[in-house]
Amino acid sequence: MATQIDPAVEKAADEFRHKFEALKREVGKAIVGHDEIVDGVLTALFIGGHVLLEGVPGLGKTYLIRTLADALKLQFSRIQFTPDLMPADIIGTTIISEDPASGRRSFEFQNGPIFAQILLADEINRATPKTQSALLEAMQEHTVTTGGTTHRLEEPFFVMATQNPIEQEGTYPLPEAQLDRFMFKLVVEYSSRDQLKTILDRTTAGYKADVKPVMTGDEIIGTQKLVRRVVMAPHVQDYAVRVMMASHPNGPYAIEATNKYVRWGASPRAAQTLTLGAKLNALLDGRFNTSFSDVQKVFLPAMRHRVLLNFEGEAEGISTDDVLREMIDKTPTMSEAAA
Amino acid sequence: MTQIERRIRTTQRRLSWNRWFNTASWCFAMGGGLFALVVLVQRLFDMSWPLFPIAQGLGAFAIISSIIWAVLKRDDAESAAAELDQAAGLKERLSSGHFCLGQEDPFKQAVVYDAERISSALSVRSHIPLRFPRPFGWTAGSILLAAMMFLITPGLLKSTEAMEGKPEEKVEQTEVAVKRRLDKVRELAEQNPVFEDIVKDLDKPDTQSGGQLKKAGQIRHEAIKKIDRLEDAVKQKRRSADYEAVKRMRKMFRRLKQPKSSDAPTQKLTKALNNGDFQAAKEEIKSLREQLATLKADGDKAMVKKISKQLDDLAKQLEKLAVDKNLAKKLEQAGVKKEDLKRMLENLSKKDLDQLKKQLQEKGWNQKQIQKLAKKLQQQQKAGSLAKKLANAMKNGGQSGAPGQSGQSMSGLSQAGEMLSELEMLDSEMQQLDSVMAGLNESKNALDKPCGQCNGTGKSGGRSCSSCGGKGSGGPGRGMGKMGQGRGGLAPEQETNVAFKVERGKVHTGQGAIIGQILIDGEQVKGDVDTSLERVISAAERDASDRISRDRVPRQYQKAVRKYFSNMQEVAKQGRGSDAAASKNEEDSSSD
Repeated sequence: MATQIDPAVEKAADEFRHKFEALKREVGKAIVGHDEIVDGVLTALFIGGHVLLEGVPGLGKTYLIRTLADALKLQFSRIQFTPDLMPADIIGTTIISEDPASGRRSFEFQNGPIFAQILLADEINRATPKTQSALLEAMQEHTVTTGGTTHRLEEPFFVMATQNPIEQEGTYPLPEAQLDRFMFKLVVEYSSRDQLKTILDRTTAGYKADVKPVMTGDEIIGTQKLVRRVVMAPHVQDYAVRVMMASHPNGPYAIEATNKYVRWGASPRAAQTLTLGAKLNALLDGRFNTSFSDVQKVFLPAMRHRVLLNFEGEAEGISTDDVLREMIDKTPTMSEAAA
Repeated sequence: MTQIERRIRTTQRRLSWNRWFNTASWCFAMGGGLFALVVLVQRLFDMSWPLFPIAQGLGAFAIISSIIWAVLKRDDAESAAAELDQAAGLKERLSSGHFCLGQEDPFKQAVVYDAERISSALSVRSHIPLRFPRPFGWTAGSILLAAMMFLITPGLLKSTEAMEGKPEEKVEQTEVAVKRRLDKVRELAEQNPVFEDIVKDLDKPDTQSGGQLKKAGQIRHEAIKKIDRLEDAVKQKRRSADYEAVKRMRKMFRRLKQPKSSDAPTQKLTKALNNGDFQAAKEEIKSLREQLATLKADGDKAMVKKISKQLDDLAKQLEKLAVDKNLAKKLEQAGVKKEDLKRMLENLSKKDLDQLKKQLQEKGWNQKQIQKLAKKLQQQQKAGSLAKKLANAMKNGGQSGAPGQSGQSMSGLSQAGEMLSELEMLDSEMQQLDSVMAGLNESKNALDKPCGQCNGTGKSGGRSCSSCGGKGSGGPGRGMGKMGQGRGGLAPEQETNVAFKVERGKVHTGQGAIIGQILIDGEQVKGDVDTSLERVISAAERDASDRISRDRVPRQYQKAVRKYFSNMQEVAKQGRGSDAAASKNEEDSSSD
């Protein structure tokens, strides 16, 4: 029987919570409201995932990511995605360089903006699929391969992309493979009345947010390792798997809405995201074990970009979030086998 | 055992109890329903099933099966822990702690510690209460239903046919009942020798089915018909002139006047005749004869004279009554002469009767009236002649006062006595016939309306029938009720004149709102179509297939879309074939 909690574990957990709060506070200096978005972005950061922010222009998506970069002692890079952006513009290119001393010429790889730790892919859906696909390897393996040479990106590496759901003219919807590599898709909503007042006060009265870096890259990597140690009991894991599998049309756990409205369900990456997200939430809640509610909390941002509605779903004006909510409601926490 | 395990075990026990309550409740509900069904079948088909042992068996089965089910479905530790977590809002601390028990990882130990800390302050009883079984409503309902079915009397649910038993049994029962009744009738008839020939009819075979009656109703009907025939024969006999004459005479005697003095010797005789008691009258005649003999022997002439006079008075009254003035008047009105009438009333011959009938017919009387009058005349003639004979006998008896007439007087009284004795016999025969008639009627009623319980056999279950007391009949039915109330009803329908007028109202109609519109972007292409239909259809089909593969067409319409385009392809091919044939024909005709 355990007589007490290991002090090292308790300390690490406490430190993580403090750091998380501190980071949130720093971001809060610049960003008004959007607590869920900030929490989502930070969650993705601490579990080593990438985030796709979707919202109409002017809601502070880019500003949020820039502020986060300021609050972290990490190398920040921004790419403005445009239709004529080429993969080499992101990854880098091999150039001929001449040694001034010897006059000898040689090919040298010039790093692109992807060689950073926080990469802001602004309006990612404006670039062509070819260019968008340049991010695939970097996002999954944290490496870049060009000219037969693989370059490792410095850890931690995050891609934080933004996209605009309107102005679809001249945009290229992200392919499913690309979307699946984003851990969360966060939908940025309009600010409330009070939040808007605060935004106006801050932006029209000479206020300048003094955001200080509170975490280093090593600390983030340490936190990522800490999160992975949180216990997920088999029945909670089973629930995460079942609720994810509820998105598979005609699958064993599919609900009626899934069979009717869903074209493609989520991949195993979704289950990984659910698990890691639940673990981080448990740690934030002061627990060392995950619960069903932790899984449910990250379910929408982890799943909404991985589930594709079919024609009927779109024709009937049903949103992905509606179907996902029904999945949570209709999937029992304890399965028959477990019970 | 750790604190976590203790809590989990308590939870398991409480969950098992709750499960057992629910299962037992369901089992009892099913048992109740099954028992209700058993009772229903038992009541319907009159099965001799032991209901109490069945009820006990079902109850025991419900208890045992629910226990077995509850044990088999007992929650394991993991699910019990999860249940407690959910009930107490512990966010899976206990179940995760239970999972991490005995593991070395510091994080898992932290989980265990956390779970133990929480479980030490946890009351399982408050979070996992013993719940009232949810299906209790069903249980109560089914048990109530079973109880209600049990309270229903055995006969209530039986159909009429079931109540009456199988057709063969019913036929057998009816045969027994009919035989019983016919035996009674035979017994009645055999007591009277006049029925000898009539009784033979009872032993004749049945007229239907060559004596092999298959249905109870037929057997009953045939027996009733036999009794009816017997009844008719008895009625016929009862209507014979002799009996009618007795009846008439009784009527006559009723009009006899009592002697004025209360101590008159003939007072009792007159009274007996008034009452139609022929036996008493005969006794009185006998007594008078003896009295006269005694008085003569004693030489009491005054008393003898008195009796003689009274007898003479009585004879005169009888003579007077022997003539029915109304009938005589009627016949006179019909044109019968007085001397003929007198002769007819004294001695009615067949010739006279025929002549009278003819005469009445000529007068315009109908047959019914003629028959009625003739019958009345016959009866009156018979009764009158009897009355006259009796009067003569009385007169002769009254001659005892006259000297030298003693022997004649005694013989006259003896004659009167004999006549009264004859009348008594006829009266007795009449009574017998009436009694037979009543007996036949009763038998007929008994056969017509047999007892519902014993079917007329008088016995039910080897004992005397409790419903009819062994009589076999359902007893006399109820008489008529009060006068009914007539129906008002609806007034008869009548056609009415209807006409329709077509009118157009003055309204202004416009174009109306556009409710649907398809706008096609681009310029309208004018001129001849140079693309073949087949190519257009192929392109459209490709487009549709593409949409189907991309799931842009709803699943339920995909098949229809495919079919539509494949049909279109066929139409195009046929069109091409007919076009080619048409062009070939054109070429041929031009070459000609």
